Amino acid sequence: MVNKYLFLAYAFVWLIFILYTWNISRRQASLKKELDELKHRVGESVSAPTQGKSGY
Amino acid sequence: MNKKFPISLHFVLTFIGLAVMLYMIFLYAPEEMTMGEVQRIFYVHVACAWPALMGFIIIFFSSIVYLWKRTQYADELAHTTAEVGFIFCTCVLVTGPLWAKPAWGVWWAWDARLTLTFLLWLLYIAYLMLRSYLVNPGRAANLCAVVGIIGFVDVLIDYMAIRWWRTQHPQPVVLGGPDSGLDPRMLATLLVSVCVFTILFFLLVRIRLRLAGIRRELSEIRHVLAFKHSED
Repeated sequence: MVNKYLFLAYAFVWLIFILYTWNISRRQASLKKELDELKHRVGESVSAPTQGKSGY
Repeated sequence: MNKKFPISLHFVLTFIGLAVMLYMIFLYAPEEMTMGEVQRIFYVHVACAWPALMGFIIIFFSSIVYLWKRTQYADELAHTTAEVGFIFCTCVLVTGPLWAKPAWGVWWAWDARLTLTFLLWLLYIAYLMLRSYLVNPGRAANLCAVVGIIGFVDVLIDYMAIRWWRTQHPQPVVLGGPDSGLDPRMLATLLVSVCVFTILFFLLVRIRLRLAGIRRELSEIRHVLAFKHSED
């Protein structure tokens, strides 16, 4: 039978590291998505002026 | 750094290290005679305490470099280290009482070491709160650098507390006085644990720095877009 304090100490440490790593990967995924969208918009805005002028 | 020591290799090294560390803690290290199994908390407690202190040492030097040279990387490194250091410091403050309750009969004692470690945790929180709540990034970086430099005093006193004063917290077993010392197998396990958690600390800092890099790139693109809109 494992001592309950020992179990709690190790369980807490692993849990906090797993949660923190998951949190970083979630933030990274959301920022990457935003970055890709902005890069796409920058690409559009570079080609947009000629389209805009021809439209007017 | 990335080419010489890729992050994937860092991951592998950390996982192998963690497996070796767990083997040593639970199967290699002998059981302590008076405290029994609960003494094994000591390995993870000390292994977390070292990166928690080291985190603030890195913040201290990064803050000086930022205030002196105004390099953005130094500021990002300090911010990143504060976040990771806070996680390690939280582990210290949780594992400590879980060891103290069966060993001392109380969860907490307001002695010098414990109080200063709690203060270190509050300093980490103060640092991260300043980052979150100040709208102006330049002002946040300046103020955090000042907190990082002043907070380092706590690290020094915290490290020396058990050497200077008689505390409820045990005296140092490594680099302590003539009466200090550990069983060689316990010492080997402790040193491996400290090394593995230091490797883990730097892995988390590297992962978190990547996030800061993406955030920086994002803000640069936003600036470009805002400039283009203002021109239009």
